[in-house]
Amino acid sequence: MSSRWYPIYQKGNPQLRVFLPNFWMKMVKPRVAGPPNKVEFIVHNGMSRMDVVNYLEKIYNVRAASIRISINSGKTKLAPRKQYVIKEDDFKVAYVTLPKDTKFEFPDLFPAEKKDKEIEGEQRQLEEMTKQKQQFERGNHGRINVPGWFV
Amino acid sequence: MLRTIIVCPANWGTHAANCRAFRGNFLCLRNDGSGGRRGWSSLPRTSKSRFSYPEGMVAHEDDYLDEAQYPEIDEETHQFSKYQKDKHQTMLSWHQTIRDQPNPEAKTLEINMPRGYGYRCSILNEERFEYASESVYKFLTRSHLIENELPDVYSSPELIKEAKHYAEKLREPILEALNFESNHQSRSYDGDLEQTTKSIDLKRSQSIVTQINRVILSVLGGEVDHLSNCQVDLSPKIEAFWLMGGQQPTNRMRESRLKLQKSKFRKCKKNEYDPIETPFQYKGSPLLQLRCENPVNNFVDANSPHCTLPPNTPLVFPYQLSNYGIGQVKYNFASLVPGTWASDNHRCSHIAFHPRHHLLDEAVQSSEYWVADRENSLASQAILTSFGRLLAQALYFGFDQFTELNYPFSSQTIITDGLKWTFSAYQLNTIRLAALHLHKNPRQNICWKMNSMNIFEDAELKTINMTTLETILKFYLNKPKQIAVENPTPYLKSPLSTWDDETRKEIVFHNYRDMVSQRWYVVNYRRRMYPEVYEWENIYKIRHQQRFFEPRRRFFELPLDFPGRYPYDKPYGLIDPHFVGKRMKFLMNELDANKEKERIEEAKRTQSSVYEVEDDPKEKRRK
Repeated sequence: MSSRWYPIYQKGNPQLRVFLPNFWMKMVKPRVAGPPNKVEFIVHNGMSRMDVVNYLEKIYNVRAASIRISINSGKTKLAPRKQYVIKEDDFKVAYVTLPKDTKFEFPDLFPAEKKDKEIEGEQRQLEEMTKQKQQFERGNHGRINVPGWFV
Repeated sequence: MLRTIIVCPANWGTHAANCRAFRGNFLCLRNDGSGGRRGWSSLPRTSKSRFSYPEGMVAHEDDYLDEAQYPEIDEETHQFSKYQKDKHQTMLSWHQTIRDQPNPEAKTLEINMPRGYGYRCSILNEERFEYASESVYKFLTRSHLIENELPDVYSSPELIKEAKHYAEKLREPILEALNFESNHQSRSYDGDLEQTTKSIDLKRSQSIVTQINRVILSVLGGEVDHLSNCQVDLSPKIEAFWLMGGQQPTNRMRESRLKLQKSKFRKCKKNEYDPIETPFQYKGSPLLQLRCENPVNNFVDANSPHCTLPPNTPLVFPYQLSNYGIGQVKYNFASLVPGTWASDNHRCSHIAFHPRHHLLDEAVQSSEYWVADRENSLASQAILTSFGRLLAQALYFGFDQFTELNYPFSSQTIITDGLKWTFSAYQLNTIRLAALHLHKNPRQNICWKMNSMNIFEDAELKTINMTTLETILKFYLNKPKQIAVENPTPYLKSPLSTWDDETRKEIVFHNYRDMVSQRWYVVNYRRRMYPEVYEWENIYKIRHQQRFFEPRRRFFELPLDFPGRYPYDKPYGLIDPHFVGKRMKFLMNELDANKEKERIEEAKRTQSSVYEVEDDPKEKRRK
């Protein structure tokens, strides 16, 4: 567990090793379009620049030329069906620049053709059901938990 | 039946009379033969034809020519709406006012007039050059980089001969100076744990470069003309400001453009990815700068092929600059300062020595690719620093960004830490980089840069590499030449110190000084800080409207046309330096009255019938 408190390093100590770290990295599509050698990850909040470099190098054998890290604050939103504001958790983003000649393109996960085929089938039914549910909720706002006789 | 409401000029008559004219159908004929719709003007028409001159005007034969002479149609502007034409005209007249100002201080003041809180600039400095970012700096300064080469001037036989002659003389003194600096001398930064390798390197470079410059000038200063009459600056402030077109719009801008395109009532003339213009402010400080009265002789003729932009180069940078670490946006007044104030005669930079401590940055050192890419980082540094210095120098000759240069400027840059030396030369051919002019500008700037050289030949640091020393001396001995144009400063009229207009002179001086020092306070109150939107207001008023019961008094809640709604567009308010407020005047009058009283009482005490008439205290204060 690398997000625990572990002893401060003092000169002469042996190399500290962490087994089963709970660091994770999630690749995301870059929000700001960048050059072809740029990749964006959302990482565990406790990872530092060196941790990101070592993660990529040791596990995936990917050498990074430079890394920039920023902690972004989570979005605020109105609590559903309430009148107060709540906030999502903060998250850390790592902008990794690969060496100059390498290229990486984020894949297109939701191509348009597949979408149409799926909607033709059962998805349409599902959509209709959710719409009906939303309509019901809108008409009976405030008494959703109440048994059916009152609704 | 529908009644039409007609809008008519105020002097035409009553509404009833108008309605009477349109009773029935629309095609009524008026008495003077014109159609009902056109009969609004009250001028009588002498002839029955539609296209006749009004009364009193006579046609002259000179008005007619055999061939029709049509005015030029500018492709972009002839399709503009009236609003866009007015906007375009105000911009052009703003450029003209900048051109008309008589001295560089007034010009910088005029550039800053549209923004009361300063421009939202991206600040460029020499602290760090991102990996693979040389293409950005080339685009921002419109430069073409020639690698591992110096211009032909430096291989001319006369310059080589002179350099070899002085290199022999200077070999021993320079070796002494370098040994003195490199050997362990106790320095102020020894044992200081807060100093990083980067900051220590900067201080070391500063001391080494000042010593080498001193040694060289002690020998050459007596024998060479332009070096006996030169000025040396240690860590001067060099700042340059320019508006650059061809930038990618931000995500927020793109989303608002898409929204406008879908809206029914408002038209969006801009496409989603149309480029925008952003201001850039370069703030740098070389270790040492040498200034002479005449500029360095231009390396290449202005008509040569290197000076024109090759065809099919992209005029829009394809990625946002935040990818390259250039995103820091700050409210900053435009300041263009090439190391001196404008009244100095020595206004042409001859050489500038810059540090290479950015290569020792922690982030750079942690990545082997970045460390191996150091030549490109040095190239970006050479381009950026030379361009900034020459842009500010051009303003002191009267050329601003919206008025193109009449002739090129050139300069020399050396990037060094005492042991490794990188030489570069730069020629500035164009500064017209704003969005209006970018695509019409065929010129480009040129930068020559050599790979890094060591000053010592061997690892024991005992023998000096003569080629490096000779190149240093070639840079010093490169003779500056007077500008070969009749009027080198066509847009400058009178310097600030000898300006006739006394009131304007004082106002310009005080406001220019405030702007260039980026002062956010004036007297005792904050005038120049951009009004802040608090975080709670962001959440509860802007993003989610949860405070609907509160009165809307803040600036971002005002209706769209109210003054103060857009503080960024508020123009600069000039400050009168001799202004004295009402309360202050009242207090000063009271003080004077008290002093009068005291004098009278003293005179009574000493029983002298006549007291000496002193100077009026009010007049004394004004002096």
